[in-house]
Amino acid sequence: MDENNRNEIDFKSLENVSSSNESSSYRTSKLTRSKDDFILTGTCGGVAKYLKIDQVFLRILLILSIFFGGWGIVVYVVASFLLPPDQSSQEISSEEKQKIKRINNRTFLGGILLFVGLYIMLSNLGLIFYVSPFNLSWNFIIPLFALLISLYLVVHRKQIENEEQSNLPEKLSCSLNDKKFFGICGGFALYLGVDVLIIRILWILVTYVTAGIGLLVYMLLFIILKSERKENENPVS
Amino acid sequence: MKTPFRDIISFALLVFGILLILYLFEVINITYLVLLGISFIVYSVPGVFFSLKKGYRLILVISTAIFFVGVLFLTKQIYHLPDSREIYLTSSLFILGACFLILFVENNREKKFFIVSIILLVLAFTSVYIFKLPFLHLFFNKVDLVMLNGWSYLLVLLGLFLLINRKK
Repeated sequence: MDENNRNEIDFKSLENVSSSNESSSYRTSKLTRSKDDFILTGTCGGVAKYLKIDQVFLRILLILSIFFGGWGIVVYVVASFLLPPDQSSQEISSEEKQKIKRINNRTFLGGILLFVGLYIMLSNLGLIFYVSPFNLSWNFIIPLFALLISLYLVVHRKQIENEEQSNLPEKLSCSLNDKKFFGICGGFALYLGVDVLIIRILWILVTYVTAGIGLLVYMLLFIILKSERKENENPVS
Repeated sequence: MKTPFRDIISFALLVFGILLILYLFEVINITYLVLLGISFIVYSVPGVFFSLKKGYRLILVISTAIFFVGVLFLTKQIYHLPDSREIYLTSSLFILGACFLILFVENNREKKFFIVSIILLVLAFTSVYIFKLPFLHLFFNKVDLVMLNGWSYLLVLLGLFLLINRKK
């Protein structure tokens, strides 16, 4: 009798364990839009988490799908409206959030540069085929996307919660820690509150577009900042 | 994305979408360039206003650049400017100068932004005449050839560089 009772209890406890495991696996395997890992809507972040792959592959696939009729974009827009936002109570630290934001900003800019570069390259080679989803004209799809994104932004509008005044440095100075040459890009990154790698990439592009004048601006800023630093070190009494 | 900027982007996209639909149904007769120009200006004017108010320098610089790109699109279309290199070079210098000038407006204790902006704006205005000088014209023609050919490769390389180094 006692043994039977014990067996019953063991069986119940096993059932409890398995049901708790099941519920936890259900929570983690639910397909949602990520609330922390997002560039536009968090769909790629959520799907990548679900599939346990790096989200950048999904994002690149999405961008490259434009060359093959833009079906990826259609799926993305539909999924953005259908998938629920991640409701899990797992909170990540602000440091982790900053890290994810930095990676996403780099992925976004990198993806745009890659897309534009590939588009120009393929156009020059005559390899761009204007295929569109449902054989609709792009003239119709573009305003539709614009209106859908606008609608999405309005629907998912957040309340203005006392947005803080930005906490950026008062003065532009050469960065001593984050520098490749003279620390101008590092200084600018600090002054504007943006990732230094993005500033460097933009500076290279500006230098290219202005046929080298961006480099002259870099040198000019370095000279001004250096003379300012000297003045600060040896102030005239 | 900060809240007012989300609203501004959604409004600019709404304007763009509606104008494009009106154009498709032949209610209005405008081109893509004018449409983009109008949308850019619709985004950038409140963008500059809010970022100046809140002190978001990055958005301030981006909004200023977008405003002038919008003005360039409109001007190019309305005044039928030709697709020549001088326009892009002059405009890039002007936009760069304007971005530095707005940084000075935001924080007028930073005189270096004013100096750099004045140099760039003067260079932009004089570039129209400077680039007509024979030796400079020859130089920029050669640079232009390299630039046009290498433009797409540079973009792909920089994009890949950013993607590869995204976690560093």
